[in-house]
Amino acid sequence: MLARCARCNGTFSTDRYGRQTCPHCGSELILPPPPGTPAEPEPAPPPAPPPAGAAPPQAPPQGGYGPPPGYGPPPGWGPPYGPPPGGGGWGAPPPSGPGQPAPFADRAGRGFLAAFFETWKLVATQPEQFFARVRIDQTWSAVLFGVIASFVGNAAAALYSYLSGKQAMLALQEMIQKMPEEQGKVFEMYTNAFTGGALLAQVVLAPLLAFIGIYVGAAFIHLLLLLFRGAGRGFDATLTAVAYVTGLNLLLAVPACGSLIALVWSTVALIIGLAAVQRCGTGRAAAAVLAPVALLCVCLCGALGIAIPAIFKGIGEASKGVPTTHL
Amino acid sequence: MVTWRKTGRFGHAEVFAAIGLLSLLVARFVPVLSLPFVCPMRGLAGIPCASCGMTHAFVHLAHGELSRALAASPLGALLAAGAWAFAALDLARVALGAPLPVPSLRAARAATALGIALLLANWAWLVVREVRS
Repeated sequence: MLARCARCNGTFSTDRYGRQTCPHCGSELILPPPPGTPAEPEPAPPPAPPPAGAAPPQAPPQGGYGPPPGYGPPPGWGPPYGPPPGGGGWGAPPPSGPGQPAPFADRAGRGFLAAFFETWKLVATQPEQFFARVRIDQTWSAVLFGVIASFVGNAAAALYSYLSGKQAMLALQEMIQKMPEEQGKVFEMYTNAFTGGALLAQVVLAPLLAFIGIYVGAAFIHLLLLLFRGAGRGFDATLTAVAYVTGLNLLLAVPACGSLIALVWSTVALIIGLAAVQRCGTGRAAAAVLAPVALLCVCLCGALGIAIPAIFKGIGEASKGVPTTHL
Repeated sequence: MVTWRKTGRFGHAEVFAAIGLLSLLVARFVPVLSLPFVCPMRGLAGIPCASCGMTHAFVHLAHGELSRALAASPLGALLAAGAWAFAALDLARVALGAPLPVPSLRAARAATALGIALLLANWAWLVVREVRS
């Protein structure tokens, strides 16, 4: 019979149902038997998960990580450790073990730029496959990746802000003058951030701030993962996910809406990546990432609830002594 | 409750210690309070955010002004003291070649829950103080 691989869409002939290996891309897939047919025994039982710290059962792709069987979307990073069909456990990555180095960790052999962009593409477009298989003991490479991408993104964003900032300042200046003093100060502060000195400082400090941000952000998210019982693989795994996802800050280079795109894309990739790298499920990963935002919203509502009566009271008292137009 | 783990010379704990040390140096020697920064939430909505006052707390504590640090943000003062104490202890640990104490999962969860409760309590205190003033 003919079968079609769901990953690469290649067809191949087989004489049995059950677990198959695609001859084109090497992906594992399950060919379900027609209804009423007794299920065939599996050709080989899946290997038992190794003890903590042991070598992983998965062998690296044949021929190393060269281009054809390397990191290309279907052949390289996807197939052997791809998502289990139907959510079953056959292909679930091991709970521990080194996994496979990211292309960027192998930059000496692959070339810096090629490794960087290959990793970026994987993080952006295949976060689940990437993080399910990436090694978590190469955190320095992951942090370096995040820092470089943040620096490039921030530098491009700063350049764009500098070019467009003067026009924005002129447009905002009139608006700021009509605002209440406190609000005007805030807007003035942000418009001043478009000036040359502030932008230069932003670019120069970007690598250091990105480095600190990655570590502090990873620590914060890891604590929340601990709280939700989703940090089974330790801090290295969380740091790896946060650092590689920080690489999406390269999107800051997109003019105008880059920061918004980067924010949304990074959040989604981080949730998917944490779920895959910590093997904790999307719900717990989403809870850890979104809990601070949800908490902020709840507390903001509470704070406004406290503040608004006082503000109205203040306005009421102020209006008693001020002559009105009685309109 | 706590296990002891042998670590390399420069691991994650040392990175956090370095960040803590850097925060002390910045708070002590960089005039961060003179930067024209207004908290966006306080400026636009008139309500302090959860981290409002923390820079002041770090700077005051770095200058030895404990009461002013606590008045600016109690949690900020606690965080600063904790970060700098951790940095000092970790540097001493590395110098002595001692193993790293690793808290149990249960202890880490309890500490996280306590930290969140403290953050909320600190924020509530800041908001109430702002409204009353």
